[in-house]
Amino acid sequence: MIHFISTFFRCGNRGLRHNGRHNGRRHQGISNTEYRMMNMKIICNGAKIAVEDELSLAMFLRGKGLDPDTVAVACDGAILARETYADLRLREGMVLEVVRFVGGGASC
Amino acid sequence: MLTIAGRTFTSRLIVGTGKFASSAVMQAAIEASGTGMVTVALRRVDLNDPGDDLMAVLDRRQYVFLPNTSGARNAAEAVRLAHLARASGAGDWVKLEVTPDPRTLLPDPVETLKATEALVKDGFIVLPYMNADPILAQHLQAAGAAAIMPLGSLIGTNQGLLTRFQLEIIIEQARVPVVVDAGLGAPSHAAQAMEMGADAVLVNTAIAVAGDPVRMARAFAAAVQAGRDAFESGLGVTAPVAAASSPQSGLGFLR
Repeated sequence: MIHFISTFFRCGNRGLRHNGRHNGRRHQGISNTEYRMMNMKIICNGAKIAVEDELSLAMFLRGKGLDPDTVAVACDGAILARETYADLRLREGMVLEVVRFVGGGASC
Repeated sequence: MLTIAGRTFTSRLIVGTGKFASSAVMQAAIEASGTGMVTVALRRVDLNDPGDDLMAVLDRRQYVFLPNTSGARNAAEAVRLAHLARASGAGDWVKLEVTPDPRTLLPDPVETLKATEALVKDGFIVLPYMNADPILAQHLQAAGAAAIMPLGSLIGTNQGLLTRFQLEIIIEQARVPVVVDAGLGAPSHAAQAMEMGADAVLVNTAIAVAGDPVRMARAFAAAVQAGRDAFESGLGVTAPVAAASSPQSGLGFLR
């Protein structure tokens, strides 16, 4: 549990600090994506993915066609609170797990 | 009315959302079942092909989402899945499944009890899937389970109530609702469970893989209602020899 909390805050704070420093360059829409440098790499659901610098987690999810309100995300192992998605900036090497509900009754 | 953790449900049928041919069929079958609670599973999103968003297909104001922890092989994995489910916005309900053996999918009693204790502490409403073991049922209730979900037979086998004698003891002793889960392959199985006094049943496979899932959902709904009505009306006792239902006097004209 202690590890869980500390990882969570490390992840969250890092994103927020980063966001604050570069606030002036924040992107407001995914339409900008194609004009940005895609030179940052993250690992999402086991695959290496190039993303634009400074992209927020919420914008990343929307760009993948997902509703941020219906997914859960673990960042570097820690489960994130939904309220942090908009402010969390993706960073080089971040490991994301994005999960969502699927049909299921019992077991696999 | 079925009440679990202070929440009431008009239907005593809980429906699983797995194995349906399409989202549209699932939606129609669930509506036809009259259920107020559906089970769902949590999985990685395929980023290249996200598919339908279940939370967009099913209205959460109409159905309580009961996320399961299917895929968990031990308590730690189940607890992590439950927390991810809560982070997905499904609320605090969880159908706890810890099934280390893929061949039988039998629930691990030790890990299930451990996970129940941990999740109750974390504020979850825990409904553990369990083998039909009356002693384990008592331990799970003591650990704070909101309902218990003993199996009728192995998941997906359609074999009905192979555990009926243990189920009778569990129901007799229960202080929380008993939801018979797994193995109910026909509406008659569901009716039997309800006649025994089960508070509810959970059905997935039998509805989802039927030739006409919508009609099968209606059949299960009717069977659950029939079984409950029979239980509440008071069933007769079984006897080893005949007990005539026609008058035995007034036959003098015959002999």
